Amino acid sequence: MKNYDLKTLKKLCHIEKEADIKPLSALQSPGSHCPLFGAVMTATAIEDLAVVVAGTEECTWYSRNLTSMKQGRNENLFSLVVSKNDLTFGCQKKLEESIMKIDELYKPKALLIVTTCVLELIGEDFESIAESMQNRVKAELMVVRTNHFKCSSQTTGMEDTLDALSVLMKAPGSVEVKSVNFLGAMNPYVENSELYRLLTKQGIKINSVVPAGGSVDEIQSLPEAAVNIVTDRTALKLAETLQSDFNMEYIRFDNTIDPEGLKEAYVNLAGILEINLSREVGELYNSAKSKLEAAEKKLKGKTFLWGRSKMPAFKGSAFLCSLGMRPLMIETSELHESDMAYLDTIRQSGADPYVSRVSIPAPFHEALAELKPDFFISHEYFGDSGRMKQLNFDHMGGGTGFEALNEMTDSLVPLSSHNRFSMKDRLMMKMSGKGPEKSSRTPEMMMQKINQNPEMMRMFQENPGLMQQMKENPEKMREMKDKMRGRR
Amino acid sequence: MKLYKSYPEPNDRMGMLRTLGAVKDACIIEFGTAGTTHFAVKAMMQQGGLQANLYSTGLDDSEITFGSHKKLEQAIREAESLHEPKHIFIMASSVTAVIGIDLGSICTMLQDKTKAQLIPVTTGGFRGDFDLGVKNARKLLQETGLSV
Repeated sequence: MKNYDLKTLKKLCHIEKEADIKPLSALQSPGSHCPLFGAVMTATAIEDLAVVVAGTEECTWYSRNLTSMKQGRNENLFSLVVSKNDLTFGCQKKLEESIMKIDELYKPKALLIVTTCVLELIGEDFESIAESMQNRVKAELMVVRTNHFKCSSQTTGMEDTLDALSVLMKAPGSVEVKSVNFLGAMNPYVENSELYRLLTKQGIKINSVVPAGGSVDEIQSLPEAAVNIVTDRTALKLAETLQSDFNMEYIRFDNTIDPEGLKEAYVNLAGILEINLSREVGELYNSAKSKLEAAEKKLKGKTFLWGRSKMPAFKGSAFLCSLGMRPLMIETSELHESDMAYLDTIRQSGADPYVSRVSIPAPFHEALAELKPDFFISHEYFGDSGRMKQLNFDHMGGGTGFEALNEMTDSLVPLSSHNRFSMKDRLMMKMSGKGPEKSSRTPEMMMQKINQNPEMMRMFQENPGLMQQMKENPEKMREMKDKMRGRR
Repeated sequence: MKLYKSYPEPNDRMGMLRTLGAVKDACIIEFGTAGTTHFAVKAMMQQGGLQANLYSTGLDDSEITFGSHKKLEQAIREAESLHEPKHIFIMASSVTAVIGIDLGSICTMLQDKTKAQLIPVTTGGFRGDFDLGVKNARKLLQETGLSV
């Protein structure tokens, strides 16, 4: 029996604002991440920044638990739990006492207070409280307000947290003309990225990488670099603040899905830094272009459904449209302002897919059965999907150049059932010497990918003998594969 | 307000959810923001204890301002269609508890249109600790004839 009607959805040509995107289901599970999650994941990546989550036991307990699971670190995370009394009579006195205590005992350089739904509901003014307290504590105080009833995902939490950090920045004594900041990197292994390698080869200094691997001192020194490189859209607000407050230019590498756009970004960057990247970029451009042209020949006219994925839905779909593929339905958790350009790209390709908000898996299952696309992109395991090929773009590069384009293109071709497996699965099969098909990746390329994936790096670092064990014991390999699937 | 350096003490709503979530094939719909449910689902899956079908309705600004329960009604109808459960637990969240949504009355109102027994769980997490939640959940399960 059909439970969901695609005709209740708007098509892409009618999508102008977030409210136009409806879910097929009234149920959500597990539901979208909230901005608290985004704020805490971003803030706890920064060394010597104390983070205080103010909210109910659930908000505080769960956010600590999740950061522990995902980042393995939350030693600077504090929980300030509200009671019924606090909600009725206000939190000012206890908040002030707690801030003074943390400042005195732990002496953080900076302290970020993150509010949550219930406190936002009652309208407690944490910003004013923090402002009134600033001259009584040594730590620089900042506030990020989060609530999940005014937004649909973790993105605003991440954006607002990065932007809040701008109060830490000081006017530079001098600007180092041959230096850059990477803004928005959640991956601490950004030094393995193409952009990082190209710049350091030219003698460009990497001033700061924020937030992953960053510190309060590095954030304070952000204005000392010549230019900001935006590697994720959540850092755009911070880049704009740096531009308005310190006259710093920024180049976006997060929003380019085509070789021309990337080439232009590199040219602009090279111009500001007064370096010559024409040979290297030319080679990368030509290689990416021919790869894309070859892929387009195989993929033109193929249809796809975009489901749950860590990659922004409209960005990924626009990329696939540029290869001549046709989206039938796109599921997304949000419509970000930077998505509007991707919507234009999809419209210009002539496609007009249904657009749905992520809810529970059942509607997507039904849509697959009804629309029967050639591909579907989702990080959920759907079992045997017959002739439909499942792809997972969750662990695609770092989005800092042609390597991201190449990685996505490589995963689309060759067209075989091999593509239903994620990079992790392919690695496991490669290491065991078994696998349904030949992989185009050598073990060295696989190792490079491990180094770019924090979760995998952590796995091998926690188990130094793991690599050798997996080679010798295929049963252990299968156990690890199942364990990693469970993590997803 | 209490300040914690490590994990805070879980509240009664967490105990309630943890216990009800362990009931195989139970249907739980949280009337609240989706982020809370996401956190709870991840934590319970991590602990290997989620057997129930746990959903959120999600909640936006206008629903909070105007007190609409239309989404809850649609969610109940859909859960019935998907699972045909005998009981559906309708759980308040901290947000809906603070704004004073009367879940008991809503369940009474919707019961005529629903085959499953609608069981309101009105705690927003402000009544006590985790143990209290577990105790109350077990009592509720006993009354409905379900078991963990």
